[in-house]
Amino acid sequence: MEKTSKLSILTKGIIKENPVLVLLLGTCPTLATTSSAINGLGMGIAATAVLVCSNIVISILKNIIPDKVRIPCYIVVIAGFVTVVQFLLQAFVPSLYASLGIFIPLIVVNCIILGRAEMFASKNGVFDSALDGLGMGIGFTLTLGVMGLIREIVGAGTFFGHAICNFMVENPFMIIALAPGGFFVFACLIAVVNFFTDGKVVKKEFGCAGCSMKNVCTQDKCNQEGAEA
Amino acid sequence: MEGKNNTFKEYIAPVLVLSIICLVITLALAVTNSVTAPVIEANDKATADANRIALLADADSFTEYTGELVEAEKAHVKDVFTADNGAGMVITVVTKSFGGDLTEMIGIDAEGAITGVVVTNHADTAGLGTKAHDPEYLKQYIGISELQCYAAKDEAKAGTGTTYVSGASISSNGVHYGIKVALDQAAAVGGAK
Repeated sequence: MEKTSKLSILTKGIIKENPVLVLLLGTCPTLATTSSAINGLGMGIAATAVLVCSNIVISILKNIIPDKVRIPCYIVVIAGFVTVVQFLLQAFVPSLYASLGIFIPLIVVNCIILGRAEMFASKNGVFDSALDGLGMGIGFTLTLGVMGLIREIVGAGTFFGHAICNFMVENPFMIIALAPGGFFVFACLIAVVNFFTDGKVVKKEFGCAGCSMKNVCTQDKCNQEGAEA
Repeated sequence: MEGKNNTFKEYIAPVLVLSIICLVITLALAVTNSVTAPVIEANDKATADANRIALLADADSFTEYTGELVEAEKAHVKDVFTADNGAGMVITVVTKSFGGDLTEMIGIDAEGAITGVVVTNHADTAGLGTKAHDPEYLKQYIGISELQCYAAKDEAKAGTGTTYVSGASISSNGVHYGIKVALDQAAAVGGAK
């Protein structure tokens, strides 16, 4: 893998390789928890905590975990951290715990966390993995926060729960706060990111080299056989 | 020798590593649980106590009712706390709503009239189903001592004076059903004693 600077590892998740808007991972929690800005930010922070911790642990254990059981091992580690976050939220931020509901335990199967464990933490050092987790987490949190804010302002007429003006509160554009509005705002944000990054994003980790099935894949052999035939 | 090594690498090491990781994670969870469980329990109790006092302001203290609790098709009574000074009771009901289980607390005075309703836990759609949990909407039940129907729409037609949220009828029904079950429970308890 090409050597990259620490700053680049940290910042790539914000725009260049934003997990939600560029890699299109974690769409389900993105759409479901961004009905308000505080919910979006809360979900983002909870996922970031899990992402950083799981990346660190998986990076430490990368030479110990046998290839055959790496996915179950990653899932156990991630599920452990998610449950810890769930306990802490329930105990110390019960209002956020009540708002996020089912989406906290669902962080376990968040593609971003498993994706970064498989693509980055299992191949890089502890510090780099922590930076990657933090960067991706910041990108995820910012996206959820911005999306939640747009949906809250337009769909409910409030800004972090505070009324902006009576007209907007009494006549909210409700569909934006509901599922169709989630898809619409999501698409708009992707369009904005594409506009600014058009042609600049090189998805190098998604070639054969970045594939988790690289070791068992027979694509080269198939191609060879096809050419011979 | 190499065969033994392969067996260890192929079969024993994966099982061993996964088992050890599971054990360590379980230990970490046990430690976290031992720290957070008392706080969670205290939070739940404080919230429930505050809700009881808010719903039945005339009550001085509460005692849990240990008799039979009502179970209906779509709802069941979770607990009943009666006021020690006979001011009434507060009933917690778990009912079915759009997003799944909905928990609500209903205050009922000594005459059997509703003093207040609050939804404490739900999984309904924010901004839509939650309109049926709004305190302004729930105020319509205050003073009512008898409901005729289990569905909010039927009740509105029956002329009790209650309405339902258009577009959130399942959530409205869930809340209404729970209140009806609470009134049934209050009747079964036989008033505050």
